[in-house]
Amino acid sequence: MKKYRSRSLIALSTSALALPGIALSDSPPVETTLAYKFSNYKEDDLSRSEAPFSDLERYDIDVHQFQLLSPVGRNMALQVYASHETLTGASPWFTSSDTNGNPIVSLSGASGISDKRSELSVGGRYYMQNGTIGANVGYSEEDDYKATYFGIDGVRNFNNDMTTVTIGFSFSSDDIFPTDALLFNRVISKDKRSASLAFSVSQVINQISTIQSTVSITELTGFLSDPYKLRDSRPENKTQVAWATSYRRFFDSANAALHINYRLYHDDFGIDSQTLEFAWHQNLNSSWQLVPSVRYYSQSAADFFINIDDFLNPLTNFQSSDYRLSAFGAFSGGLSVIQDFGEWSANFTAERYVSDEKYSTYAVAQPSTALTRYFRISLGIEFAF
Amino acid sequence: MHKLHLFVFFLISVCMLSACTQVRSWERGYLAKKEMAWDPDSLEGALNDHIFFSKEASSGGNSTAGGGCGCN
Amino acid sequence: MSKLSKIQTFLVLFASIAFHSAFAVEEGDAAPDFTLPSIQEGQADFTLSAMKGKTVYIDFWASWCAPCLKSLPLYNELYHKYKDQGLEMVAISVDNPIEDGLDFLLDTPLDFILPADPEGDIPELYGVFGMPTSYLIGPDGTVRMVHIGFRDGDIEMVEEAIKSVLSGG
Repeated sequence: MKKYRSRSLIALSTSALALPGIALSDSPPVETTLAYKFSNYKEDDLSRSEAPFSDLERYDIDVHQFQLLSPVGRNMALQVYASHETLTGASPWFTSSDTNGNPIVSLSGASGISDKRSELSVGGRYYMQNGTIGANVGYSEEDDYKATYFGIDGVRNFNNDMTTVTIGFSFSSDDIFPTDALLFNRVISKDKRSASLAFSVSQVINQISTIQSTVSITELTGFLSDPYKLRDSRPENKTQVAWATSYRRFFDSANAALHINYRLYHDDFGIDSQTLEFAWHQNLNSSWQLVPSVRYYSQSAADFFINIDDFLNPLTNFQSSDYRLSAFGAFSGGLSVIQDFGEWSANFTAERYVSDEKYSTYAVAQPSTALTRYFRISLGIEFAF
Repeated sequence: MHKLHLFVFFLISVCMLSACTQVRSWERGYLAKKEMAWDPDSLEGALNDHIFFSKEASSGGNSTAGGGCGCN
Repeated sequence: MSKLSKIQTFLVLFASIAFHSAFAVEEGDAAPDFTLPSIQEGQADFTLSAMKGKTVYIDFWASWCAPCLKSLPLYNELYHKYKDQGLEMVAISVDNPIEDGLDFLLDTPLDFILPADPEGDIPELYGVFGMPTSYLIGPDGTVRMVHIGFRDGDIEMVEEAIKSVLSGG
């Protein structure tokens, strides 16, 4: 009759690494778990008025993710993560203005883009009396991009495991070699590096609630522009700071947990943003769980963002019409259904994301016409053995 | 700098909470529930981080590392 | 916030961290006596002092504690192996509600003494820090071993300790 034991062990194993400073967080997972998730997300087509002269179809992306989490010996855990992504469709190439002076966008090439991305990372964690040390290395590769990265972190529990402090450092070295570089007069080969430091404090508030706050600072240097855009020139340095706070509270009468996440962001391209997320993890019975969630995002524009490419503006001046640097806001809503079958569990998620300059809390001097909306579905399974 | 002071004050207040209620190791049943984890579905978390990174200008604030991408 | 109040805050913070842990039962101490009802209705209460003369292995567990669930079936095997030599095994469930512990036992029957302590009075008495925590008590009533947590390979170490106490060590 392994059913009950395995189910509770799975639940407890996978959460062992993630739980905030409780007495159990100093122990490795008790079982090996294998997880796989397939996702597809498709951006809405542009409207004819947004893109009078180009293809309207945007990105359609399939993602496969794998994760293996296993105890190793007495004091260690191993984590292997792999993902493979295939991408078809088109993305904004340049913006211009229509006869009324309104911005319009043209998507890249008639044949669109077809790209694959693969990633593999391996990590280990060593468990001690009052804390843990973790390290991971990873590699990702696309038709036109390569990244090698590593990270290390230290976790220390204090105050009868009520308080946990984490310090982490990660570094990534990326190379970009755009496809059809000569044909379209793009840069042939460029690189960039990013170094990040994060500091986090978690606190158990009482038997049913916890709070965590993390500050991270990241420094990027190298080629930060988008080589596929006709007119895109960005600084060769960027400093960004993010401060995220998370709260978790369990409601016994409802048999559900509330998740609230809030993040403030600032970088020296001039972007400020705020993100607010709510999720309600509702247990229906011992094997079904429903998780509705909402997210609100708001960002300001980069100092050098313009919504209509200016081909007379010399490239020595920073400029970009990339919608991701414009002032906009986004709402997304999702629903996940999780079923626990004992030694394995399945999950299904559907999510809808819509962005619009009207949703931003920041001033919108130049709205982008290329803002995205997409719909995502995901299907995942987990085994424990 | 104002925000940094705010964060330090926040840290101190969070630590001050430690002087209040101690939750003993045998009282952590609720906290041990999977739905109380910071990241109950880490694949979902990694996926969302990746998607939002490629569609928005912000990233970071969490401890999940990941490879860059030429996402455009 | 003024500089003085910042210093005061830090001092209080340090004090609360430095003077946290209170009393905890250690190896060599006399095991504090206690009485607890059984997790199963209709079964007799358990009193530690009634076990004088026997070797007692007390384990604090809960259905939400993964290493605990991993250890209990292994303890069951150990109990069967050494009960004829005078070993008593006592697994105290701190589940609150008690039903959570009972649910686990329905799927994984255990053959030793199973008291319930949903209020956590006895872990408090013993100064338990970490789940699971177990205490190996000799026939004279003194604590011979305190073991916090349960990881791969621990069962061998526990068996060695039990054998040692049973043979008069």
